[in-house]
Amino acid sequence: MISFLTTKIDCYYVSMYYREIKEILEIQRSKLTRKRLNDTCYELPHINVDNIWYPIFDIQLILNIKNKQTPKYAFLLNDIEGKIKYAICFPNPIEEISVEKKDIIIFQDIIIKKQKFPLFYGVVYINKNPSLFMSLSDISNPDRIADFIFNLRKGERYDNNRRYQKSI
Amino acid sequence: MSYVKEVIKNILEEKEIKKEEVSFYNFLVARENNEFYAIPIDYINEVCEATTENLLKIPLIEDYILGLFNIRGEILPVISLNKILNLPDSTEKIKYILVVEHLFKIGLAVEEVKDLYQISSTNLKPIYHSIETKTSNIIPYEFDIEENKVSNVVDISTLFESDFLK
Repeated sequence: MISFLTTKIDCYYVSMYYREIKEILEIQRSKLTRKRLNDTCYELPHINVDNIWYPIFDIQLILNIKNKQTPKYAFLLNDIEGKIKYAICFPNPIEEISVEKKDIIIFQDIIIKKQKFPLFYGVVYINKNPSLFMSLSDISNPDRIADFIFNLRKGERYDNNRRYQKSI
Repeated sequence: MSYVKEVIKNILEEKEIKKEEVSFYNFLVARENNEFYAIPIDYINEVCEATTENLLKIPLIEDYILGLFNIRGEILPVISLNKILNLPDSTEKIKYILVVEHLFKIGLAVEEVKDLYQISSTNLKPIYHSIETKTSNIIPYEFDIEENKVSNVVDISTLFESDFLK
């Protein structure tokens, strides 16, 4: 049996491979702040875990969901060495499930290639219901996600609460 | 060989050549919105019924991929030819998926499966495009199916080699 964490985002059910996730946290306002992302021009929310700030992205922004809900849960994602690389937050409760190998169907290349951002790699059937197999293992650098969200909005600032805007 | 015999032989050979020139093609004609598409039957594996349950939506994918379809454990992208060709979107629900195989398998979304047609090469009318676009070679011919109705012949190998499926 293979373990996944599954949740609902808008009308989509998604499942992530258990080992890709270091930890799941319930989001607390006191543990969030806005910080500049590395050497980029992006300023975005960061979450504090053991006194280290990690960038956190709302999955609804990545998926360009129109009716966004308040994110409540954060996944801290592992890099290759098992360290936290960044966090992704989700609006709905997360359920742990185990499925057999036969219930996982990997996409043919064309479906992966034709995604505007490589996020979905297959379908995981949970009690015969399909959920999209989501993985961020290929995206080690958070800058790539920030760039994608920015470009998705065609030059619009994806973060409307930049510090310099407040001062104007 | 006498001159007359030689002439007769040439005439017969020419006739044979002419006979060979007329070939017949078999197509399955299906409709998406107001467009009829003729798909060479050699490329069609099967025709499946589409329902909202078996068509899985996927975010962040090119808009001509309407969703994913599971056919006996294989997930296929379901393609809209109208979207590829920049034609008006369908107002009806997709009812059938034509499973087409060339370099890999895809599903073509259609609302109606009309009929099988056997068409001679003489009835295929070439479509000339004044401006070359990335879609212009996908539909090289058309033929009449009824009065005032034509079907577009889909060149499956060109479709698979186009940027849409590369």
